[in-house]
Amino acid sequence: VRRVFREGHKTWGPHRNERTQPSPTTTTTLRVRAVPRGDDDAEPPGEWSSVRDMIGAARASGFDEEPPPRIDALLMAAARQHAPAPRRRGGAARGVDEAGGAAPRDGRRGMALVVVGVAAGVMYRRGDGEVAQPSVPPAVAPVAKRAATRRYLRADNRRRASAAAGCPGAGRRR
Amino acid sequence: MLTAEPDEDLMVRYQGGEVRAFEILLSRHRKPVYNFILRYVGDKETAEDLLQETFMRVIKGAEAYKRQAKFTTWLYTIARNLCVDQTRRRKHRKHASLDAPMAADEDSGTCSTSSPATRWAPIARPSTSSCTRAAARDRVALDEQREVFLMREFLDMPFKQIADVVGVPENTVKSRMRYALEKLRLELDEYKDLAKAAP
Repeated sequence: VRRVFREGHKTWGPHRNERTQPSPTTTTTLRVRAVPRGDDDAEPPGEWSSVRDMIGAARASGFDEEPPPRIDALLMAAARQHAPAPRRRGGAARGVDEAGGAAPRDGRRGMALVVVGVAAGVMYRRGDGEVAQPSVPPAVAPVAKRAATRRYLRADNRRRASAAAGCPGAGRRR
Repeated sequence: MLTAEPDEDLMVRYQGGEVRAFEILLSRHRKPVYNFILRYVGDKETAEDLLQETFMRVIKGAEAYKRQAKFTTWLYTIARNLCVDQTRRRKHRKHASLDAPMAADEDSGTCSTSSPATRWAPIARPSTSSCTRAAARDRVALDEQREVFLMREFLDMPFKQIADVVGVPENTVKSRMRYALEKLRLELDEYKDLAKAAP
């Protein structure tokens, strides 16, 4: 800490009320700690540098304490005791159980496809699966066409009758 | 290798019954979580209890964990909530009556929070003071600033994640961080001459 203060006090950042006046002491400051990733709106570099220098020095000199190992043993025993049972199926498990449940899920999907395919085949063979026909008769033809059809059928009947009577030209309009 | 897997994958593995995955998670996070709690509550024994409680909650809540959530956010939310509860409990226990006569050193009417040791202690917890309601309010603000400061400076968390853990908007986190740094700088100003005089 002494070293940081000795070297850092010259680069002490400006106070909030003094920020409008540019200070030559704040131009050559260096940040010890990198800005965390994904932190696009971090404070500008240079500010608070001496405070950060001190924290960095403290962390570098083994400032952090180690928790007692007996806690690890206790927690591992508890973890073994309360370890969740491996999941086979179920709605909640579907979203999270990716590592162990992928293969059975694929199998189930395949089975479902086979069942649907067989059912579709059986229905097709029996004719149950045919598309239902509309009960309403198709739209009637226009009147002009119906009249023409009637004329054609009448002429056709005459032709057949005459053909049956041995007179091939009969019934044809001249 | 399991040791190279991200926390979230390890948690999913533990959900599948792999205890080894939890062991790796524990070895990865026990130290930073312990130090976070220790700096929050300022007492080793309490910090050990809270560390144990934090991971016990992780174990018991493992089945409810959703992979979409970041593991560290979940972990530090648990740790932070336990610290807040502990702080509240301690305040209730040590709270002195406002009607009680002031101590001799408080005769001047100044709050005990104005002493350098308790105004802002960046690492150690400030001692509890029962001077006025304003002092209590100040302490709450200090607690809020301290937790943001610890997560930012000692855990290198991005502001967004701190906001998720604390449960306030990101801009609030940023302003708390700024106040914390300003207070810390003012405190350290008093030691500047001492540092200069040191060989």
